[in-house]
Amino acid sequence: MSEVAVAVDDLVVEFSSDEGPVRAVDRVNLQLERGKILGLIGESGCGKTTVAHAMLNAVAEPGRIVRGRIHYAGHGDLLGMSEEAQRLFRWQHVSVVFQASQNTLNPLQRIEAQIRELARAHRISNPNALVGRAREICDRLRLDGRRMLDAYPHQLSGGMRQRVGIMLALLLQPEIILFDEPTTALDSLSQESVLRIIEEIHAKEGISGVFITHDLGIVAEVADVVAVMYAGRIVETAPTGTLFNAPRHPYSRALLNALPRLTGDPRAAKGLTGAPPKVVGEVAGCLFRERCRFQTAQCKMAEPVLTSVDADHRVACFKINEEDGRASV
Amino acid sequence: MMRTIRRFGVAVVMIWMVTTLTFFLIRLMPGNPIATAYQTLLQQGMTAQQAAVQIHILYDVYPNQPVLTQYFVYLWNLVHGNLGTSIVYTGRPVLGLILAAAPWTLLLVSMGLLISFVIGLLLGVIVAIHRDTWIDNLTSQVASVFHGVPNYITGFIFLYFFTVMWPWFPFGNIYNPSIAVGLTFPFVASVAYHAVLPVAAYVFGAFGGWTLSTKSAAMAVLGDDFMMADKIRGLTSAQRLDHLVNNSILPLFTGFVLSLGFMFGGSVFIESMFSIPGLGYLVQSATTQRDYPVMQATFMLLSAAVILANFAADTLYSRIDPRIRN
Amino acid sequence: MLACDQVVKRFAIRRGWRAQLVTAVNQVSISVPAAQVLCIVGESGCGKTTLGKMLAGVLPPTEGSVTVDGVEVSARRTAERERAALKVQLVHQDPFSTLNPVHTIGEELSLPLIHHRIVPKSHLREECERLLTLTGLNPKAVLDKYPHELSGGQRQRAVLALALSVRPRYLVADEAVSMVDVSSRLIMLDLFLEIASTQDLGLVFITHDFGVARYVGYEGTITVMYLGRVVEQGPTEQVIHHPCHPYTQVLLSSIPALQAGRDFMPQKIVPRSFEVPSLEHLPVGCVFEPRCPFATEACSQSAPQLRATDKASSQQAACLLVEATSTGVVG
Ligand SMILES: Nc1ncnc2c1ncn2[C@@H]1O[C@H](COP(=O)(O)OP(=O)(O)OP(=O)(O)O)[C@@H](O)[C@H]1O
Ligand SMILES: Nc1ncnc2c1ncn2[C@@H]1O[C@H](COP(=O)(O)OP(=O)(O)OP(=O)(O)O)[C@@H](O)[C@H]1O
Ligand SMILES: [Mg+2]
Ligand SMILES: [Mg+2]
Repeated sequence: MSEVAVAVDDLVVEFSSDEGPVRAVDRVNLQLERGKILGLIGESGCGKTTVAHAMLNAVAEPGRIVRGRIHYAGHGDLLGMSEEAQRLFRWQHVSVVFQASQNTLNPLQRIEAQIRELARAHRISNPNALVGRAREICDRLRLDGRRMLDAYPHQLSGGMRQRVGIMLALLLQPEIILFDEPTTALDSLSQESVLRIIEEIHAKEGISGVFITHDLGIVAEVADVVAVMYAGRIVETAPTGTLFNAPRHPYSRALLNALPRLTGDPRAAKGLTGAPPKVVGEVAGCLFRERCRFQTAQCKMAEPVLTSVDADHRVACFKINEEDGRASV
Repeated sequence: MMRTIRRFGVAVVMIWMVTTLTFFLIRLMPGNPIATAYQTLLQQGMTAQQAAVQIHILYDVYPNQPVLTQYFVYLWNLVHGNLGTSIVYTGRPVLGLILAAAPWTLLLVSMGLLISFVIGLLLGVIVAIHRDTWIDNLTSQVASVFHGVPNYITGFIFLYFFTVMWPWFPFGNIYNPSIAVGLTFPFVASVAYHAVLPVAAYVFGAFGGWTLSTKSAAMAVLGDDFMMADKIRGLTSAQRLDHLVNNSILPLFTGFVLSLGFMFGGSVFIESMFSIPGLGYLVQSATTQRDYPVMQATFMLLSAAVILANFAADTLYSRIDPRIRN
Repeated sequence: MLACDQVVKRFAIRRGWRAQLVTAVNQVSISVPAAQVLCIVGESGCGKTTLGKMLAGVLPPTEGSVTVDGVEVSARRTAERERAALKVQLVHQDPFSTLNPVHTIGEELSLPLIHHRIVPKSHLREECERLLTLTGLNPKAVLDKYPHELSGGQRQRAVLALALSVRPRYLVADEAVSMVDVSSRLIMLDLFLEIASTQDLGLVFITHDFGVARYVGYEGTITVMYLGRVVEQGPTEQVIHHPCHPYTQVLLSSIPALQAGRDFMPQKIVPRSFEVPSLEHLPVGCVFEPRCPFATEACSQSAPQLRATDKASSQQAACLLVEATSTGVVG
């Protein structure tokens, strides 16, 4: 078994609300091996972004990490570091490509000024070299580097801003990059160039990554292992091939069935109706049962836990043993 | 550029309209001193001809001229920088009166505005960062209380405490008349000393509003994605504060420039309370004594300042916000 | 009919110390008949959003005209043009930037209703409820909520309700579902289609996802843009399955297999380069020539115009090699 770059242990994140603390992330365990890419999929609001931000101890107010450990190889538990050490750790060792990176740039500064600010924050001795590097990465992302650096954020198209966000994440050569929906605003060609860059840095520089998306087609292309999240919990993890060819959890299967495709009956794809429950306080039973075709009495009684069905394949569902889950895609 | 020129044109036309309006409105007001003086002269036995000449010598106005003619003469003089002569301070040119009064108001209000803005900005940002803590509750309460209290009341309280109860500060006037006027240290020090209370009265009346509006602006900015991203990018607290302040100032900027425009009118109470010979004082005394030319000119100045501030706010805003620049 | 004729949009950008003009949209003419769907697809930065904003009347074109049911709305505003412009509404990609965080959904919806005097004041609440019901929301549950109290899907619906409040005849949806996750994306798309058909709305659907374009625009037309120009347009299904322009072919064949579906386009067509030419230094000939795998000498000489690819169909492409590529290269 190869080295683990980061291990998330028993992570619980809660957001305070009027009705009481909302559990956005519940007892999540994740291991990211060095040089590998872990896909994290699940529908909107299931807690993917919260996991990513928690991995940097930067969950937005009113959220907080209730318990858990985030152990980085060579650095120890992030939550045990001093504030200043955490600040310098962020971005130098782990960076993020933000979801909606459209709006993650200060609207009042040109891109180049923002890069120089980053250099100052991280005490980089040669900011000019960093700007040069930024230009280079832009070129690799099929962006006109000079124009990007000279522009204010609003002068760039949605996709350009997203790629500038990717450039910033690569800038300080971190060991781990958390990609939070890095390609949602991108067309297939730009997507491809982004995926290429990810693969390239991944292969050449041994960077590990967490790839968060609801775009299953992309996960299938880049991820080595995939974890499916539902309502703050991980409900299935498996190597990518296994997950896409033989998903076992009913939720994973529903996700795969919801893609609008280019062949066949255009209306054959089906969206998933209903919404995941909001988790306030203790819950009993499986959280997916209301939307599940295979619901039984058992699902109401207890909450299923992740159980191994294969070497690297674990599922949290009672039905895995009774029914052949090998749905076709 | 074309837009700026057009806007400026609009501003000029508006100033002209306001001038015209005040010209006619003032002549409709009861208690016309020229008419009174003219009647008095007639009763003293002068012929109409003599009385008219006398009035012209005194007030630079022909009482029997049709209003429209008076209006055109007025405009003609106006574009030549001649604002007429005061009726009350017989024979003194209005322009001179205004130029003598303006520096005091400018000093008083610009100091007050600047200080209250800076205090409000700092408090507002601090409160937004610590929202829903005791810092927020306390500061916001205090700010709303001060925001609600008119500045003549704070002025009165200050006067009572700091000139009567504890006479730490001088009362009345804006410098010590025994010191020669000039850019000398004693004179400047005397002005500063005299200005403390009125400026403080202004600041206490204004900082609450700035605090509250900064707070809401800063809270909106704190919710923006880029502030979250700044933290994860490992920017220092100073850099993040910088982004917060710069982005929070934007929505306040227009209000700030507009307040500059309103400042000539905003200090009437404070000036009369502290007997500072500024514009507010001039407006007030001219109005009570029906000193037409002075009233006319000061009203015009007050509205022109507001209109020009509006123009400046529009034009400058697009300079400081890159998103509007194009 | 919502149409634009030869619209051009130029922006000034900074180049070192100088300013330079870039042409984000270049002589584009498209039209959407009432109650029809037009999809606009293309690579990032090709000018889709800019074109959409011009169609919706929120950005004036540098040249050319935009007409709504025969009224030119891009010229100086008169009361009549103002009314015509109101018939086109833009639905933004980002629901956060559209909804004011300090207004409840009810207040937000009331503003345009009052401002444009859509309904008398006494009917305000009913109208808000009607709009919310129309977009699949429960009025009682959301009317007094602030945007941040709604889920992503609810927010997206509220934005749609806001766009519908002024009773438009056309909607321009700019990446309206790209932020919505796959499981609810289809449900959102169904909602758009349902509203468009019950309200007889014309729909301009801007997306970078051919799958989405096919889903909403199955019976409509599709326009493929590249560097500010239209390179191909025609009936959606035909363009997707028989693309004529090499650019369309490249775009389609770069879609990951899992997304495209089994056996879609077995043959991979790779561009000669992934480099997109800068808007400031556009090639003199065909804009796609530097990347086109089929480019010939002639392609770098002159810019091709849009022309029909065969007599029978309404498909058009701007390529000198149209005959060569429409048959043979792609099966
Ligand atoms: N600022 C907040 N205030 C209150 N609750 C929040 C906040 N941010 C997130 N949450 C809660 O955390 C849950 C998880 O949110 P998160 O953003 O991590 O989801 P996600 O999986 O990234 O979804 P998406 O695909 O929409 O980005 C949400 O359902 C919500 O209940
Ligand atoms: N305000 C502006 N100032 C300068 N350039 C601009 C401005 N708005 C857009 N542009 C430029 O116009 C071009 C087209 O932008 P547009 O936003 O229309 O692209 P798009 O097709 O919507 O792309 P995406 O799919 O990435 O959103 C880009 O090169 C962009 O940089
Ligand atoms: Mg997210
Ligand atoms: Mg766009």
